[in-house]
Amino acid sequence: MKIVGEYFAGTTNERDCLVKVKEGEGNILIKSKTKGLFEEHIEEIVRKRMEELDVQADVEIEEFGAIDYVIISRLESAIAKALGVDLPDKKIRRGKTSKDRLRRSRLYVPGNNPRFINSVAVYGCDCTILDLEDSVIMEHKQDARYLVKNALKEMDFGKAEIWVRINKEMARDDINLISYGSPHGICIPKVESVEDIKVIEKILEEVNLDCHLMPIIETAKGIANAREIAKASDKLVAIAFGAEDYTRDVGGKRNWENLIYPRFEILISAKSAGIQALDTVYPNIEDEDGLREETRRIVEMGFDGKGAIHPGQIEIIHECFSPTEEEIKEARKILEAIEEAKKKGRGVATLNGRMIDLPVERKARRTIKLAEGS
Amino acid sequence: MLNAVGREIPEELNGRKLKPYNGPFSFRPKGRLHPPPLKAVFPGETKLLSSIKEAIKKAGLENGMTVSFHHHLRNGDYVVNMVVDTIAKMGIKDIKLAPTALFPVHEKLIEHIKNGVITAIEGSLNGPLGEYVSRHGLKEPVVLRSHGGRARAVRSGDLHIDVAFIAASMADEYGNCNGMLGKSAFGAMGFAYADAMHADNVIVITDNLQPYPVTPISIPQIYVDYVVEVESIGDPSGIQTGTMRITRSPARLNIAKNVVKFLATAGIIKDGFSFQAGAGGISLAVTKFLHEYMKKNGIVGDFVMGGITGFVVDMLRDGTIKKILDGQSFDLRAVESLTKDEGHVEVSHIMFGDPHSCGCVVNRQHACFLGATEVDLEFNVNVNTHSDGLLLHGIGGHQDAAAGSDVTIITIPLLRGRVPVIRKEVTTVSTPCHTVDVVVTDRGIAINPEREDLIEAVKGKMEIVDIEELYKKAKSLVGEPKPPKFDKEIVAIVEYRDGTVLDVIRKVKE
Repeated sequence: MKIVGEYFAGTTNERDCLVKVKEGEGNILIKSKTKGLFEEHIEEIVRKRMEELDVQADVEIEEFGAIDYVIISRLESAIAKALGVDLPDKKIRRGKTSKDRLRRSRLYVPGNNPRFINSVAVYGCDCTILDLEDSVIMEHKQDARYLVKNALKEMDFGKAEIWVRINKEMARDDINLISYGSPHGICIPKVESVEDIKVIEKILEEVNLDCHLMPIIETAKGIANAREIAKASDKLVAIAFGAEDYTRDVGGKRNWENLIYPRFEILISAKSAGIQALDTVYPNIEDEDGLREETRRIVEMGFDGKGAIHPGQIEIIHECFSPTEEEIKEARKILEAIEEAKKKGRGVATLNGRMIDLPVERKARRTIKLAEGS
Repeated sequence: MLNAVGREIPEELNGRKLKPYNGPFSFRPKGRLHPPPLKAVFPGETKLLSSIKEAIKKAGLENGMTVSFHHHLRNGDYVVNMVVDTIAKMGIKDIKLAPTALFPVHEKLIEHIKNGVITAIEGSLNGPLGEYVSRHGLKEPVVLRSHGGRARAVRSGDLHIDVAFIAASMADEYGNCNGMLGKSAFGAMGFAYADAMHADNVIVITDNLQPYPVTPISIPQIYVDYVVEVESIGDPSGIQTGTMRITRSPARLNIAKNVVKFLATAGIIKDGFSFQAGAGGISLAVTKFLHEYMKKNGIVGDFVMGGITGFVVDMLRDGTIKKILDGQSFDLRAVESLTKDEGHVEVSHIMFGDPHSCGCVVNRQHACFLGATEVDLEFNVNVNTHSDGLLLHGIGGHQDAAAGSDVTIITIPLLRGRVPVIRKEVTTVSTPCHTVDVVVTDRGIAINPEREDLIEAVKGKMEIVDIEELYKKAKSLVGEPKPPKFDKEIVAIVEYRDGTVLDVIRKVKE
């Protein structure tokens, strides 16, 4: 296929590159501070991808410390703009994560920013969410899709569960591309009804992607329908609360009291459906004490996790979820008593003369899990 | 001949016989210290001269001689340019420059290289001058030495200085001086000691002449031949060059946290803990996190050697450490503390790191954490050249700290832009693998297999990876960079601190 006209993708930001494709015989021009070190390598990976896609064009790359997957992403996005189609790719395989794994922290990472995506593996969050929605401006949506897709394919995200937050209104376009990267899950923003989940389920089926779902409830209507939403699909592993949009939606002011009701609604809806309840982000990244206070409170309420918009928030969140030494000791004793009872063939375990029932056992197991996670 | 880090070293270069590096502690020196001439200043004689020109004349500077400078004013220094301009105007040529280091502010020296005033340099080059040397070379190869190595060279006579110019922010007309007080105060002047004690002529240049005798006395009158007053020796805000701010990058903060975690896990941070602090975003963060960790756990350290910043001053002031040994002050809070805090004292770079003295401070350090432009799979470290082959940095105290400290930790990101930091082979060996123990990156920690004790100490408590794994990880993200192309011509010699040769740097091919 030949390209007609000129198309661009990428930015001039640090760790990014600007790619231009235009009509031509396949000349590749590279501008880079480290040109001597990498010119041939970059040319090789670009040529290879062009051949795979069977595209003929001249390519100009201005590179600002972009690593391979970033260059390829920008190249693909520019070509896709030129051809007006989604480019095909090979789907990678990724192991599944368990439905009830630890999701104490989930870090939202802007999906069009290579600098942030590159280093996300080291932050130690339980879930990394590559964001195509609020942190990406409309003009960059397509660039971001290709970047996120290739990041999913090429980058090591450490031990974190890897999610993508899609755009509700562009769900098909988003999912179609990112499905090649097989994320562990998809966050659906502004979910207001069971129908919103069904639409996504259908798209997943079409693109043959089997992954977890996490609706974000962030409107009054969403809160009103939360209990049905929580049971809408067996792909749901958690519901997340979005307090910033919720506050705007109801025309209120964000403070602890004003969010008590929606938080409880989310909590009860999730827990009654047997999935996790995840609290909203704390928007002021400078205010560590505020984050600590809010997180302590939602942990006490029963929430399973909290959103983060800065890596510095992760450690504080994990701290708040860590059980105390005494809680850990107590939980160990309970689990030992259960083991002991099993060994002796007794149906019911007791500790200090008191019966250990199922909720006590469950709480003890969660405590140990949290302790091991931290 | 191949040296002990596998580098080919010529037997002779420009008439100088080169000794190949043969291990960090294998060379024992013989002989005596390099003596300056005997002198006498009789009652009534004056040392105060009216201009730099007059001082140069009196000192008898001639074509082919060597002049030295210290770099305590870093990128704020006016003295080097001022003196070299004067030398040029006087028509003196073929000068060997022996600065402790040169900075971007000294870029205009390139003109004096081109016009033949400067034909040789023995000293650290940072930035534009290094790049110039890489591309063009001087008449003689530049000699790069560590701080301790330079002190050794001056004291042994390997580097003979005809005239030492010592910038001081306070001096009296008889030559007693310091860098602690005055409008251009820059703090400790550790670099100036060796030059003052061993140069044939010593000229103090100050912009703050005070009545005799000034105190504190860093360099005493007994070493000083002449004193010249000038309008300004420099801009002290320029001493905060480079990266004197703590890093804000979460990935780099993570590296710093992992350094502290490693030291804590290995059981190295306990009462008496002493370390070398440094500049640079990650090092500053390590200092800050060490402070927090020690305070939280009630651990009191004996001393910090540096490279002193406000972060170290904080540790002294709240009792987390007992003493600061200050060879150079990296920010104005350190300068202020040196005059006020009792436990904060100035030390020379002889004391800091001269391996051929009766023991230097680095020998007493439990840990140091240092940067690098490259590290190889053998744990050799490059701090001088970039992966494109250009000479852009001095060695600093790197070799000395690494050799002396019980544990030497290199803190690096896996990638700088798209350039991998862990390489099969470093472009230049600046610090030998025999003195480097741990590499902490944002993608994992690797321990030199020679340090079985450290591996054992953290086994099962911290994830440790093979350095090759880190190398492969980077390669999978960016491929393998092409090695730079060099000419045959050797433009610089990288000396080890004991005077043997670690590596040579060749001219970059355009």
